[in-house]
Amino acid sequence: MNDWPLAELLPHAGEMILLDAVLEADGERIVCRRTVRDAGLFEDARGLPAWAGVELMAQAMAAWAGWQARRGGRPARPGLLLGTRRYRASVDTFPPGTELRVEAVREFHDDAGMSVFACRIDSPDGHAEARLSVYSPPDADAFLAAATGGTTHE
Amino acid sequence: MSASRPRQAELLAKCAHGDDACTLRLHLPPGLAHFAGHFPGAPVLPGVVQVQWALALAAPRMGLAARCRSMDALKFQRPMRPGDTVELALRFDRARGCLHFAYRRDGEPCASGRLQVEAA
Repeated sequence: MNDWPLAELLPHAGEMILLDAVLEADGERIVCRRTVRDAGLFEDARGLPAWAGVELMAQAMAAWAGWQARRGGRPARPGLLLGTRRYRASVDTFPPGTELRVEAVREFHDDAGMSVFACRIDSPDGHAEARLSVYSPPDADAFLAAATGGTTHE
Repeated sequence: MSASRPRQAELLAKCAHGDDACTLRLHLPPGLAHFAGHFPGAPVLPGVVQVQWALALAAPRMGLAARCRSMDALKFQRPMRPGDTVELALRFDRARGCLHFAYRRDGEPCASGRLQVEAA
């Protein structure tokens, strides 16, 4: 299922794209793949730290939203990660070369743009799981512009 | 090139409160490597970087291992952007093996969470 490159599904760019491909997607779910590198913004010679898995999960959610938007002929809209009550990984790091399978299943959403996804990362070397909340307002660009442009004082 | 872009916040000031708590004043460099791709045209500090910094800044100051596989109550309330100056409060609960972090800007909460961390 490589109908669209991830760079077209995600609002992220360059080194901040931490997924390699979409394996499967449907109306409520997506599965992505990532081969752990030995260098990058979060990876080093030991691999990917467990805590960074939360960003892979967030990107799987964003890729799902982008995939849905593309299917409907709409541009992908950015979402903001609101957080998680509980993130658990079974290892300290995912070693370089490990094939990660990153799954996100939408469990809840409302008209205001709130969604909750059950996410997991599986690999032969370990796994991680968390339920993540994301906010993707109908007019995300205006929201982001307000959020990034109008709230601080130098 | 991205290799020359900073990956860390600039530490402006620090204030220790005993061995297991401190407050750090951080400046977010506009050229931070993470901003270019998150997101183009709308740069905000990724939540995962906020976790990374809390862990990396707490570990040497409190004698902790810079590893974490369990996180609780992660909340990203207000986006932080290029050029912001923020305060990061860190507190290690040694009995529970739990590092509390909280970012604030102008007194308003931006993000917080608890990281399970072991003493080094």
